[in-house]
Amino acid sequence: MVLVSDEARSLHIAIGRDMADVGRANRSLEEFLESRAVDAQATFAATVVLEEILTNILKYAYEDGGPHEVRIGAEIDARELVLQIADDGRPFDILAAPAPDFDRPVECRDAGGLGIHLVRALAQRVEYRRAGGRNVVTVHFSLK
Amino acid sequence: MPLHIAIAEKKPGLHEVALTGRLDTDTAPELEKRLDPLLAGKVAAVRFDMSSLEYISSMGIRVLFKTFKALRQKKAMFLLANLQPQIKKVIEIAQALPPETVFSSVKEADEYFDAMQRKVLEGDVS
Repeated sequence: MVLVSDEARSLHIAIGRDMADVGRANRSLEEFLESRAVDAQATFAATVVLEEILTNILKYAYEDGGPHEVRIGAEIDARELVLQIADDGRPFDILAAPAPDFDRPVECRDAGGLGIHLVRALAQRVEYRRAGGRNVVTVHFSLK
Repeated sequence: MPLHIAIAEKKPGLHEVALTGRLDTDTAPELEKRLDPLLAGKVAAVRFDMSSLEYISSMGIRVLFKTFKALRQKKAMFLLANLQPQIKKVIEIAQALPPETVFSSVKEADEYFDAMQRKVLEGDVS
């Protein structure tokens, strides 16, 4: 994990393909939000969302064995926290992914799609775009 | 903070799994490994004490869900007690575990276990 910048209202980090970086990035985000007195609820939601999106990228986004980079940005103002995650993997629209099948009985269901479902449920708003060969996911959380 | 796992048999057949810290991508495999021998043996119930669990992600929910399914197959009970509000919220959103497996306290979960055990016993007698 590389710390790109840590400023008063923003944090920028980058990670490679190492799954252990997911935890490191998550702790950096948590420390940043806690030190800026962001409320516990938004901090919890943002860290879960970051973990789900990063895990998904590292598991499924890359089709080759070469080096890759995920850029992570967090910005806070008085009203909201905005998380932006950009990866150079294959195109994947997080908003178009199917939700888990809640109509099936719990015993028969598999746990697939759960991470993305959590992202959509915990965030205030999620946006997706493909730009410059990257998937860019922007996630908004309201602050108290 | 990593995950601390304490497993103990509290009553005959009732195994407590007390979790402290974070149940996430890093720590979920460890919990799964610790639960395997428990689920392979003779067990009437696994009751999770979640009072000191501060964080959970989908990887953590997957392990709970797999445990629930394994116990259900063995006709054993899966009980979750003492969830912090943020953990409860994520588990509710995930809809991966039936709401009747969630108890507000260890006492309540254990009373449920006792009541179900009595029912089984009475069923055997009649």
